[in-house]
Amino acid sequence: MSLENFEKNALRCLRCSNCKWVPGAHVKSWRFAQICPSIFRYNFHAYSGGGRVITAASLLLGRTELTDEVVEVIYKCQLCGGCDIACRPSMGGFVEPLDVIRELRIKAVSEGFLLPEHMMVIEGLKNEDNMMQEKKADRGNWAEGLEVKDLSREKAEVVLHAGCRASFDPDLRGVIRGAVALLSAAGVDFGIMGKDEACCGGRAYGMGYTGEFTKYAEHNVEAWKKAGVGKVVMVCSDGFGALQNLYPKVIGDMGIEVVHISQYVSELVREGRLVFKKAVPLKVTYHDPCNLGRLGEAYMPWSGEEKRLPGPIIEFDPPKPERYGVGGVYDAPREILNAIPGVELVEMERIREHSWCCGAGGGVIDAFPDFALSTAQERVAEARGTGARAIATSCPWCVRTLRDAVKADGDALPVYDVIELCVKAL
Amino acid sequence: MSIKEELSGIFDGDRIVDDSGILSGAMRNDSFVGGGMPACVVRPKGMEEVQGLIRWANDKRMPLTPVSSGVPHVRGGSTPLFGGVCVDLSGMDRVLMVDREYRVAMVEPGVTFYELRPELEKAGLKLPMPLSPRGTKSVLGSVMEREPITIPKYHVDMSAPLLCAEVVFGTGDLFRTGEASGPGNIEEQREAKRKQVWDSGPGQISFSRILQGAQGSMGIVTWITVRCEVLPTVQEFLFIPARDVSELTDFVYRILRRKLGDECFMLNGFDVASFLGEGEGIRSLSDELPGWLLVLGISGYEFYPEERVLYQKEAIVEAARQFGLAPKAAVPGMDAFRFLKGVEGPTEPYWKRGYKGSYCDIFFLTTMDRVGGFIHRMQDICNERRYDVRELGIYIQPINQGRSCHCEFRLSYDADNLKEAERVKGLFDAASEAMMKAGGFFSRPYGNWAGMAYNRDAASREAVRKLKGIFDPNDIMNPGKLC
Amino acid sequence: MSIPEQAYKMLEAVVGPDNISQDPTMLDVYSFSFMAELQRKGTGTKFVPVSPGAAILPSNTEEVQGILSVCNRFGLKSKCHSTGFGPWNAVSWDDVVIIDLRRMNRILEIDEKNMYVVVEPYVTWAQLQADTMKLGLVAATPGVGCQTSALANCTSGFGMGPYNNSMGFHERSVMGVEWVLPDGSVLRLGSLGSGNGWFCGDGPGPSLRGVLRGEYGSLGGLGVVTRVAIRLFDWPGPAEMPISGPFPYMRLTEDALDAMKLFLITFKDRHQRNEATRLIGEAEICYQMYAWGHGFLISSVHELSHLIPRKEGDKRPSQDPVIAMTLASHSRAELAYQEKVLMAILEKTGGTLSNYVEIPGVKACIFRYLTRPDYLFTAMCRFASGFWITLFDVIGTPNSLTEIEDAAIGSLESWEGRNILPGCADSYCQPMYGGCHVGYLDHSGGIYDVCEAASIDSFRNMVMEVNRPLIEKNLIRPTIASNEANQRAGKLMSNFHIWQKKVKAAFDPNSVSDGGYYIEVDDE
Repeated sequence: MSLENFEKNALRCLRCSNCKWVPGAHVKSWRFAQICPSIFRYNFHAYSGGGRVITAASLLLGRTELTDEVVEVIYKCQLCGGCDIACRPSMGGFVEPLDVIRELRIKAVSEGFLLPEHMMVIEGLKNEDNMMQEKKADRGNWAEGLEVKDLSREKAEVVLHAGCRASFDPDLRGVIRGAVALLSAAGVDFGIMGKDEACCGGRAYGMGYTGEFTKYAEHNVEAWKKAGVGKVVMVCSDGFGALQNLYPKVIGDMGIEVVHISQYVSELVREGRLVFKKAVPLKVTYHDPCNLGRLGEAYMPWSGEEKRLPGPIIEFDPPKPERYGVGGVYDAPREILNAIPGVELVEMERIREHSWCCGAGGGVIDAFPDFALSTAQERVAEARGTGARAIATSCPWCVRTLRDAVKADGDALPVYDVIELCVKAL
Repeated sequence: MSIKEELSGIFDGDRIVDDSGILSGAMRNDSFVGGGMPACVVRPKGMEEVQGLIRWANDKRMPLTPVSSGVPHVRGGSTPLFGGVCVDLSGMDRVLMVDREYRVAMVEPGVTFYELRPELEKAGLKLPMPLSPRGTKSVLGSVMEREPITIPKYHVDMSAPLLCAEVVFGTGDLFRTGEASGPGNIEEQREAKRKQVWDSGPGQISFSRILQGAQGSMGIVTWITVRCEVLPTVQEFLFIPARDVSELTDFVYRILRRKLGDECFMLNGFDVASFLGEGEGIRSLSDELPGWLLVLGISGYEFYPEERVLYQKEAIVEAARQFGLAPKAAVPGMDAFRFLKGVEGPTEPYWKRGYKGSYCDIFFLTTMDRVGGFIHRMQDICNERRYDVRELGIYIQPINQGRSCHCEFRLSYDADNLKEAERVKGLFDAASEAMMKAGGFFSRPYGNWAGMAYNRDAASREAVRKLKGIFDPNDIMNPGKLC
Repeated sequence: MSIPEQAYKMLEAVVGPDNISQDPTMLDVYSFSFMAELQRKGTGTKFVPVSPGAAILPSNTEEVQGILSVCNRFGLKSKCHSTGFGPWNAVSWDDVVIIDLRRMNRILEIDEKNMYVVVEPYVTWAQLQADTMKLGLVAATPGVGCQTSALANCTSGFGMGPYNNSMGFHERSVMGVEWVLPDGSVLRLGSLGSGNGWFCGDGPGPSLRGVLRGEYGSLGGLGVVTRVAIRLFDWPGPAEMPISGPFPYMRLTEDALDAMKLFLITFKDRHQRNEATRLIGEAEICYQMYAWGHGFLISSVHELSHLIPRKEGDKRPSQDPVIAMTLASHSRAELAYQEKVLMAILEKTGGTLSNYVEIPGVKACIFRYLTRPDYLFTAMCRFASGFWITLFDVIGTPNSLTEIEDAAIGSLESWEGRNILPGCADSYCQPMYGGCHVGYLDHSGGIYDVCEAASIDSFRNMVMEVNRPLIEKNLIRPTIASNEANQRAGKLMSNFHIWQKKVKAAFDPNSVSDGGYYIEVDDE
């Protein structure tokens, strides 16, 4: 696929502005009606999902060219998928803004429009197999002192994939070590790749570096198969999204089951293998990570064509999958929270398919940290509005940005990964 | 050549009048608006004569003052300020169309409410009216001046019930507003089953809105279509007495928000008494009546009319109870039948003249929650100026479906008593200014109000002058009015 | 294309460097407009053949005034722009300064008692409704979608929707207005101008709302409206939209229809339907109403798509005339009365209740479309190969609209198979304006492929050929609301274009506002 394949998509944009907003029926207030962090902050229409689709059209028709300013617009987007979800009820598979934006980035990279910040991250990836510009050798340090299988030497049914953020961010040690504690408590046969764990490559894809992504996708699947793994448990939602949606694009059927830690823990709780004995009296609100929720649907491959029926009615043959975010992981984290004694769950206005992004995705936290921060601050404001005494979520990147936002606000509202609350309840 | 001679090329001789009594009548008004004696009054019979007149007036730079209603005039809107020619349109008095299916009527300027009403009733229609207009009041004149109607739910817009209009602008150009503009002339539109009901435009300007409230200063309207409503098959009235209007306003907000009831307006005791008595009898009656009366009408139409009236009545009574009010079918001391006949109109003598023969109204728009403040202020000014507040008529008419209200104070006086007239004039001027300062919006600025209103809103004044420059560049149409 | 450097610097000084752009691609995004491929002298795509000179984002009225002052000084044209969904969205000449009002997005006041809300340009209908519903109030939201600007729809654009039947045409919802004229001065309409608040938009004397808009607003051609008070109406429903679940699996929550009843009614023909809506209007029982081809109304309910009745061998949904409507009241007695009357009317006119409405997904869909129209308009595009468009665009009494359809059907059908699909939803007659007094005929005239030149040409030609005899028979008015269209149409409509030009000349002497969708003084 290339951007050229999306020319008709781009020309079919209605210019309706639905891409900027939570779908109307779900808008609960003036304050929290928007879904696109990019146009929320930057305001010009080009910053909306539709605006980038039109940008694609403009470039494809040769009306304008890529410039540094345009490239910045293309990258000031978390690839959160909010625009895509908001567009589909109108246009189904006819526009698909998220795919168009991804292709714009691939085009930008292929034509040498590289953001310096992303170049550094990718350089780090190439050299050290992680997106944090840290040393590969230090990747497994988070597991120090833990008794857990090292899958570079041993075999297990399940691999717990820590992800780059949780592996290297000392503030998030509690998340990944907590995941180990939970699986151990449940008696799961699992291991970790430790220092040999490599980035899933998903963020590289989002930045437009498809070559790097493919390399890591192939490497990881091979490594897991070599370790005899039948199931990958992802701690990071970003990684979960990558494995769910991007890996099948390049690898096809991996032959390995992919679950998010929240799904797995929820299952363990239901099976009675994990029991929460201690109360955690806390009113929390849950933030749905984009890549776990609306972008966490299983990959739906489509390879077909447009068919012209009598008159100009066009159908896709076979029909394009209807990706409305419905199949994402929303209930599992909530089930976990509801299973923890003392936890009271209150919901924000923008939840599930219409969740507001934490701000970290799409390379934004690397290239435009102020934008990532302001996006997260908007989310924290929404959380405060519920009266919750803490925010819970299911992704280390979300935890990071939301914690940074709370701190920047001069506040002390705790932000937990759901795993951390589980550990408190063990 | 005299003016009369010049105009004889347009009008037959008997339709050019220079009788001094007629000319004086054209000048006279109860609101102390002065002016210049016109040279003559002309009585056109149709649009072509109106157009010919306006073209002639442009050539001669002759002021024209159109009037549709018969004498006596009240507000001074049709009093010529600079002489010229009075255009008496009362002779253009045809009801051009009544259409039951499309609920529309087309009338010429001279059609009064009481001439139109029976024509509409024959077709099973009614036109929501102002409160008991005088017998000579023109439908067109009233509608073009945005007079409030007594049924707030039908006041769907400040322009209601106006639909389309035919007008000869001050330039002499003929124009039709809304869908009446075309394509096709009126007959051709009717053949295409179009009945001049869509009032917007044409194009991206609402010409009818510019004509309304203009006091004839943009052109002469030669017919209008009005939106009519279904004639009720069943109707009942309820009355809610109160000592103070503030007891009523929250209840009125409630029922109007829920579109309960039809007629809905408030009168103080003096205004109520004015429907029931004459002369000094009004004053004594007023002393016996409640300070305030809320009048509510409830109608049933084609389907289950009695049931409609019943459930509405029950809902109104329940709502009233929540506000500590008790709607009644009759009020002690008040002949309800006579009162309602008076409200329906016409009254003879005209109910506003019954006390002292002449009157002037101070009216403006505000919101119902502010009415009490205006009333107190008005009463204070009356006291300051030694006008007996017991002779002050007050009428509150919710409009725009309850979003605002027409607030009207009536000052009665004997025009033959010059001292009294002078005193009332002073009160009129002082109270008008005070009401404006207190926040009353004089949306229909007659006489001196125009200067006061536009002084507060210079930007609107400039805009209105621009419009005047477009539609009447030679300033022949009712010059000096407005701005 | 560019504007003078000094002008740019002055504009930048007004709004700050982050709020202005001259990047060609950023500007080209503003050149993309709904339906632009139909322009005769267009590019054949949704890009118009011209490009703005700059895009600027003011945050308040004073900045708008500053921008217009700069434009006046340098002889630049400008065009205001908000949510931008409409064929009039893009500029009409090169180097026009696009004034994107996105930063002016506040709800300033909700007066619950006097039932109005004051908004800035970038408040959407969904936002407005979300806040007012909590107070038991709603505004008449248009069918084009609740993601559009409330201010623009009421003051500057066009559109109607399901509430118009009980709440009137959007143009009527305007109360006080704050309006920056092309010369940069501020005009406040009605009571607002006299310092008395927002409750009345008319006077003193003539109503300047008449200058603000007619059937359409000025579409950017006469300054910038910065604030407006919009009428609110009683809402007896729940304080929040009672919808759970994502599209297309939305469902009504249990208490949703406590104070409302929802009906889907089919008729054998349009005449039956028109008579029924006439009587429903006279009985004053209806709260929301929409009239559409049966199949379209439920085409957005995914799991029910196999139930969409279709003609044999025809991929289009069924064309049976149908209305969806609600009765609504705080009072059970009133609801019962309304329903009794409705049944009597249906018995008299031959309407049949459709039991599709009991299917949960259908019920939720129809409720959504009537209460907060979201994908009502745009979802038709998903069905229609990505695009459909309207025909006629005329307002009149329901029976006069039927005359038009009867006259047009034959010629419409002759266009089948010519790269377009005419009559994809039969009549779409939206009775509106207080009690079904008049309706809007927006015949879903055709589906065409926006990516195929032959299809676009075919549709354009169809519109002209179908409409021409209707205009000649005085059944419909010609197209309006563009500089060119007004000058053609005016000749058949009391020469309104001449007066509109005079208004333009008086209020915009330097032609600072882009009159491409309004009128230009020098252009004949």
